[in-house]
Amino acid sequence: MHNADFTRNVAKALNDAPQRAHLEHVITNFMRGRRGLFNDDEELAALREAANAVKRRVVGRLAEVLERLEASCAANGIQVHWAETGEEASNIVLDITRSVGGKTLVKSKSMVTEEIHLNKTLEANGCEIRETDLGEFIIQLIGQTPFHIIAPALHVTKEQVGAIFAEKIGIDYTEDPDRLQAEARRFLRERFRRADVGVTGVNFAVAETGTICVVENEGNARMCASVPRVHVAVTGLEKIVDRLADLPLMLRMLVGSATGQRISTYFNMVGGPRRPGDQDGPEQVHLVLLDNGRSRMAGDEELRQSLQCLRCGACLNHCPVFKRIGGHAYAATYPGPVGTMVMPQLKGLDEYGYMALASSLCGACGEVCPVMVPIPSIIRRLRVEAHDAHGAVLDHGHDAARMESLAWSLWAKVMTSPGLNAMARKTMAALGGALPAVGPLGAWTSVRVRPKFSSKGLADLLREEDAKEKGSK
Amino acid sequence: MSNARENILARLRAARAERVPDYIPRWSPAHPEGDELVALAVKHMEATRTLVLRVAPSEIGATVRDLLRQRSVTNLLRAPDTWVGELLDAQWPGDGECELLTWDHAAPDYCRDVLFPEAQASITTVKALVADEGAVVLWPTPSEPRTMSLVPPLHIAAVRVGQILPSLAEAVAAFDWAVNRPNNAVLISGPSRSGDIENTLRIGVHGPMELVVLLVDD
Amino acid sequence: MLHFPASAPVANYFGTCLVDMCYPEYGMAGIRLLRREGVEVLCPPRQSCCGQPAYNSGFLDETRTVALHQVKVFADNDAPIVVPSGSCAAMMRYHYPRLFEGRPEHAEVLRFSERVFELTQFLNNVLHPAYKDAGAPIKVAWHSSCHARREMDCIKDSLALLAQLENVTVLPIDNEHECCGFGGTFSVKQPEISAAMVRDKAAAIAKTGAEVFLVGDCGCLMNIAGHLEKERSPMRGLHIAEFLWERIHA
Ligand code: SF4
Repeated sequence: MHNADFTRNVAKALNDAPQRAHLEHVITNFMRGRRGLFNDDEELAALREAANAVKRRVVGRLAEVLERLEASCAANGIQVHWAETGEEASNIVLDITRSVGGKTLVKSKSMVTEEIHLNKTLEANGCEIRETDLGEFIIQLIGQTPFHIIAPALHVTKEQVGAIFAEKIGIDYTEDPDRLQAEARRFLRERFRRADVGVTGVNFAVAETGTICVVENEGNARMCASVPRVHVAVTGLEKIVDRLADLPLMLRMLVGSATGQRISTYFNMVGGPRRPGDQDGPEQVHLVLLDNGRSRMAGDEELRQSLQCLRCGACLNHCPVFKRIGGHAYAATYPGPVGTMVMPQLKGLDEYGYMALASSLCGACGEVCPVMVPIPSIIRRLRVEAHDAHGAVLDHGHDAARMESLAWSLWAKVMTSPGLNAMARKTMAALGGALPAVGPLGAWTSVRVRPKFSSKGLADLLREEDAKEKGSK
Repeated sequence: MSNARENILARLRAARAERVPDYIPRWSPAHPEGDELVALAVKHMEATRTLVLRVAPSEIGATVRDLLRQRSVTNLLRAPDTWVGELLDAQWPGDGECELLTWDHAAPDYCRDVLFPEAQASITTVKALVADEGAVVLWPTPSEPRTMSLVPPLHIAAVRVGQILPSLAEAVAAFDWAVNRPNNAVLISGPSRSGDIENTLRIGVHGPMELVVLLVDD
Repeated sequence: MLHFPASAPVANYFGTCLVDMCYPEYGMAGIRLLRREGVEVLCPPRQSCCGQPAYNSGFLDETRTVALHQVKVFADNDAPIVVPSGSCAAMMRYHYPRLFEGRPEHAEVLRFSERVFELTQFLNNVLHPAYKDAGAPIKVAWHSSCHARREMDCIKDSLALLAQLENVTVLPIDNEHECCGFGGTFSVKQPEISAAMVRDKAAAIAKTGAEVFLVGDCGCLMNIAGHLEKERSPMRGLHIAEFLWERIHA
């Protein structure tokens, strides 16, 4: 997408006053929840340090950790698959489904399956895949993408839910949320019961023990991982912790940062398929490890830190830009600061370079990130990569020829020559209101008065004051 | 396909960081004991809309019976070979008002055929209750399978007071969890909930509509 | 975390480019506040800009050129460098060393960076001024700049100085933690989003019912006050240095 399209999306989002009010209300609650749980600054700082160390240790030695995870999973009877691209990962899920003669899948909420467009691949190949997280279910019926990484249907009103349920699942129209929820429960229970394959994401995969952990509040992930004969978990290859003993901390940081809960309603720990004597549970458990640009991030010391992300969504909730434009304006799987940070890295600057400009670098995201990802620094780095011929990010240097480079080298000249600098100020002061309000000045003055340049600089005033002092002495 | 593995690992080996933290600071949540520990557990579980009832072993039958009657529940799945199953069976009145169900191990697919359509409530034992998180820890077994605590609309978790541990971190250590590796475990802190319709919290979307913790004196 | 000198007979002053261009009188107020505490203030005329605009736009070579220029300008003594802007101070203290990591100038830059302090932070922690409020009772709103808060961590110092003024009531702003939408070039590269942000910020400030609003950074000031003026709001904005100086000399 181009910056112009982004600008159009932004304008649309900014004009949607009800949506903005609602979004503000929701993220304010998320922020309040987080603050309520992490209410001691010193303790929070220590927790973030610890969580940061856990993840840095993992993303700094991913090859070892993944091999260990693979071995532990194998010992548990979990089949591990590796996918370099999203397409490969989707095809793996398709192949597994076909290998058991399956056609119907149920899926719990997972951003990584959004990233790889899993549903599209499966549906194109004659499978039915049903989202079961209530928010994702709504989104799937409407035919949209998630608005927020932990609250996908945040922007949908109950009237819209009522209308889409009436249309797509054949119930009488109602906008009573309790009834809508009950209808979804009834409808989806049948799907759980009949599905051949259950798909989940992964919040943590434990290398030491080969355990797949899924955080959720609704119970649909438990359904997906327990009822169908096959459970396929799909994960980005960075979502790993080394040791089981690291889990309690990481769980608290993830859930607490997301919603302010001490723990999610359910914390699922899948350690393998059913064993002899077990009365339920999947006969096969598969874990799909997705690269899709992540190993590239791992190669750069600064960018690697993006892989520490837990996808908690706290950076979205605290972002003044996200708060105003919401999740859809970004036109990206991952919106907000985390998306701004990872989308250009996953998919390249050609396609997602515009995102890097959508930040005032205020630092709110980095301040709340539970694993201390320096999000603003990485966003700034992406701006460097945009015109850096020797960069590390996909499509680096894509914007090398733009006029802006010229402007900054001119600026550097002025800022290192005091004479020029003073002259620039005086010129601006003299021109003042005469400058045409186009380009940057036009943008500035759309909602502000022009900057008022001073004919005298600080040094001039200082000289005058000192002269006055001397005179009076 | 197998190329993917080699390609990815090769890139990641080349990407290994020069330095990684060799020390992970330990996180130890509060570590209360005795009554304080119980109080913390109750507080945290109640905060997530779990009903916590403290009972003597001899009161279990009557308590459960009242719970079910108040909710017009007419059957209850329990495992006869667990401590709570034994107590219930011994104390259960034979009036037929509420039927005790047993998971039929001989049935081809009890979960899909009976549990989903019929079971209204279940009672299970737990591995522990972790106070800091405010959650019961379940390691499903052949007699208390995974879906037993998930599918029925009412789940009663029977916890002996001595099973309360300060935190998940302590449970991981106490059960030598990394070595014993259950093939399935779940922490449950309350009834199933969702905030997905207009972001107001609603109870009972996919899992149980109600979680009751029976805290049984040792 | 910062190491403050026990005293400072001499201090350098880095006025910032924005002060020099648009707000030199606020820069002077800062100098006066330092002099009031008996500090000899050096203000080398060759100074210009901390380099942040280019830095945040991703032009690192140009940033280094300008950064090194400042480093050289202040190289003739070891005295602290005081900056009437949390954002520029943070740039010089925390981002310069990163910019020169692995380069021959790194040690020299680091020595420079360790001397940098934000104005109110320097006053409050090193000079310990005693202010006697000479003004009439007034209500003010305080806006924290993002980098003053999150990087220089000097908001508490600004507020501590204001708290000395007994006739001044500082009113809280809704969403006080939130960026005003300036963000340097962000304001012209994403003008619609920036406009939405400054609108909300200005509204929150106006809602306090204060007579003036105060900031420690001229970037935020130009943005917020510029918007208020465009909207013909009577609310004025002032740099904290100017406000302090006016209050103790009213
Ligand atoms: S970058 Fe940090 S705050 Fe944002 S989603 Fe990831 S872990 Fe959460």
